[in-house]
Amino acid sequence: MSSAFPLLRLPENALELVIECMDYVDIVGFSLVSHKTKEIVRSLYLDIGRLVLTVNDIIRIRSDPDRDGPSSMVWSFYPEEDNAGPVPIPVYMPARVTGMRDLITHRNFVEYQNPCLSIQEWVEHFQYLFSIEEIDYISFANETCKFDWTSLKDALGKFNINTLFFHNFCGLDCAQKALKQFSSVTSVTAFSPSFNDPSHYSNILIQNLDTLSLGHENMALKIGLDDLLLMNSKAMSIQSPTLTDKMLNQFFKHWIKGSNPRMDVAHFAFVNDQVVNKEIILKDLHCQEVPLDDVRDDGEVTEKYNIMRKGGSVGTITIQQTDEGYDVFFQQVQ
Amino acid sequence: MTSPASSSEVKYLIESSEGNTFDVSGAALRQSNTFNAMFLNIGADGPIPFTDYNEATLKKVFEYCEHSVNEENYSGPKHQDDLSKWDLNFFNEMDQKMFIDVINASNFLDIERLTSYCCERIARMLRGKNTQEMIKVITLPTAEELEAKQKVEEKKAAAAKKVAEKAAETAEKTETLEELPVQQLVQTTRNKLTRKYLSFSNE
Repeated sequence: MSSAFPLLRLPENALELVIECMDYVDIVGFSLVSHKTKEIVRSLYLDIGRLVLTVNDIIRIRSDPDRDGPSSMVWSFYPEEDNAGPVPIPVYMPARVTGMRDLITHRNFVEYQNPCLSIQEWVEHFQYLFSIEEIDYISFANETCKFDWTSLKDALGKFNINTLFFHNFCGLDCAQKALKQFSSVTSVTAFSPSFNDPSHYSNILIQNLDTLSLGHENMALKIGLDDLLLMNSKAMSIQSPTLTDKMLNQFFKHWIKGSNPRMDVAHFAFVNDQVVNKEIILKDLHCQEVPLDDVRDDGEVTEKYNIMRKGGSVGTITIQQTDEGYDVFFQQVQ
Repeated sequence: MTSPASSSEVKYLIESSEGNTFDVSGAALRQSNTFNAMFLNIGADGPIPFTDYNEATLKKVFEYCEHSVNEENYSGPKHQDDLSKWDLNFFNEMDQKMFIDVINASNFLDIERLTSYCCERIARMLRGKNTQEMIKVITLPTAEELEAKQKVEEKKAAAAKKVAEKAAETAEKTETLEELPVQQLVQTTRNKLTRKYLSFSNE
């Protein structure tokens, strides 16, 4: 069948079946054929999970990034010329765009030369096609951002961005600028060693975020009690070698007295095989053990205790020991 | 010619657009959901009129059905790499016109397996291509065609409304209909079938 195929003259349901048989990278390409193909693809309500952006040497759009599913895609946007210089560059009109299922195997690889769509238009296209309202996160992994911040904000600032994710070599200065430009984000995740010393970014700790996650196995986060008490997020997750059971005990004592008023949920991950002594964590908290019948976790060893705050709020401390070490969770229940 | 309690040995007469008739086994025909919905329970006293498709297309479609009579129940699209040698030959020996006719007929007859394999075959034509390359593979409709299609859609909507009204009317006359002789019943069904196809073939 060498001559052109009248695909769009097929009955609607046959055409939909054709699309359902296509790989997602091809579906995106097909949606750009015409207004009709775009609407047909949209009408299928295809689910691509989360949509995320990475801003490093180039900008990439990724879908369903955490699993190798059929809807996983990586779309990379390359400028006309590589800019290796120190001067920030404006977000460019991509001269070359590649799409593939993943960056390792390059499955379903497809390439576009000068597709005449800005990065913003690509993001909008993805959002429209797959009915996605928010960008789950924008990640930064380079020490400095290669792009001019104002230009980056112009390109991406109109989207509803949930989280800023700083990892690998991302510098603190880069992160601070990102937070300034994308001030409407509700969550911050910092897994970069640049965040090892919280005293350098107390302005982030005190922000009214929904979620603040600090610490990763590649980091040596030096968290202290004062840092914990500064945090003003609804949910916080800390992984740090300086966390101690005594520090948590003091933290919970402060909570009972009224500190961290916005905190609903907290997670503390102990590393380096540190053994947690529950007697120390619970000392003088006047806690009540939650009866075993109420314990529904699947962890190897899980114990739960309720503590009460002045004013009547109750919080549950869960101490969990797994193969990977100790985790302490806190959740306000009333 | 046929009876509602058809066994696989029972043959049905199929009439093509040329007015020619040929035999198809009940087992093959039952892969068509359209047939099942319209004729299986009432039988057909004369040739079944699939008169919007030519004989070659219908024979090709039912050749596939006859071949897949003993295959396990259809459970979704099969990857083209997993198709049998027979299946591959079946598809490879068709030219584009026949392939399109087969898709249209299979889609109308609602033969899930064949329609699905055809569609996956088309999806493969687009695999690994960017939009510009896809446009070269696909014939895009002209503005006139789009306009014509729009008109057809409007006609279809009007026809659907009519059918709905007719169905409501028919529902009221169900008792009378059940008393109709089989010959008349087949004629009524044939008219329905033709009407359904007419709206489809005008796309």
